[in-house]
Amino acid sequence: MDLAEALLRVLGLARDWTARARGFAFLLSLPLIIVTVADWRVRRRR
Amino acid sequence: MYAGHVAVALALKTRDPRVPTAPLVLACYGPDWLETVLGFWRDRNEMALYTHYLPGLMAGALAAAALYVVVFRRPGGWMIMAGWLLHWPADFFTAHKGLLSPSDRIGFALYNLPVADFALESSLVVASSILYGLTFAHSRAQRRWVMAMAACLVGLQALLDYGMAQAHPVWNPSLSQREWRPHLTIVLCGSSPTAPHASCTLAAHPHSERAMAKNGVRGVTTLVCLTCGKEKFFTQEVPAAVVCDQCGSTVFRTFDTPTEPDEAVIDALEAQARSMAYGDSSPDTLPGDLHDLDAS
Repeated sequence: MDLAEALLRVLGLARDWTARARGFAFLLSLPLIIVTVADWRVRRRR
Repeated sequence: MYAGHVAVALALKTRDPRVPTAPLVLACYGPDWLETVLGFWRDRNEMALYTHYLPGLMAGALAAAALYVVVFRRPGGWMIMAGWLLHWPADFFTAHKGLLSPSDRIGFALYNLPVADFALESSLVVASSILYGLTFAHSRAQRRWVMAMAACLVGLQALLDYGMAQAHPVWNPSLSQREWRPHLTIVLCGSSPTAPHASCTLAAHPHSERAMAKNGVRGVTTLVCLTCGKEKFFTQEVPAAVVCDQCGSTVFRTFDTPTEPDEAVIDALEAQARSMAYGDSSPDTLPGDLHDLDAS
């Protein structure tokens, strides 16, 4: 059990759908990370 | 839409470079993030009513713009709001999106055609990356980073579309405000309880009356000649021109009698029923009315 799941369990939120929500959050994070890193590199070299 | 939202963010970024990229990307994915966060308390699909339908979308856009202005204290709140609001038109191409209520869902539903979805979203990503590169990337190294970003996003989109690919995809775009109506082939397969498109029915039966035939209750139709009272009965469709066998008149009064139980018709018949026994008064007739009739 990772820290996030333990925290969710303490808050009473640990159910099956938290895994799906975490997966969805991960899916949403990937484009954000890619674009932020690329933008940071492009603008740093300007 | 998945990677296509990034394309919107990159295009907005070129319009106003003062807005930081991360908040802009967050705003373009805003309804999805909000739905995910709210989904920790209730079902995520249920929360979509408050994040992806027009009232919730507008409220979220206003809140996000206000939060941006308060936190960052920079101009560009309009860009955050635009990014949030453009989430809906972007999703319109790939799924069914709600207008005001769960019964009002429209969209091209390209997620059911993963190849078309990939073509659309990757084209948007490439086009916006070129626009971004022309605006911000002036050196070769910078352009390389832009190309790497575009490649990663297109790769992500390809993975997503590959994961969503079905063995027998059914494309179900809907531009009406109600539920999607299937094509005739799907109805004939028995996989949909709803009626098909009228255009599909016409295409399948171009020279028959089936296109306009009733799918309702079958019954007996009685035509009573207004001139002589002669009755004619029809169990199939009533012909367009009917002539009375007795007097040659062509004017009839029509009565439909269902032969299958139909709640609406039974209710109407019960409501209109009148006693035919001699001496029975009509239910709505008062004694005074009969007195008036006798007097006249």
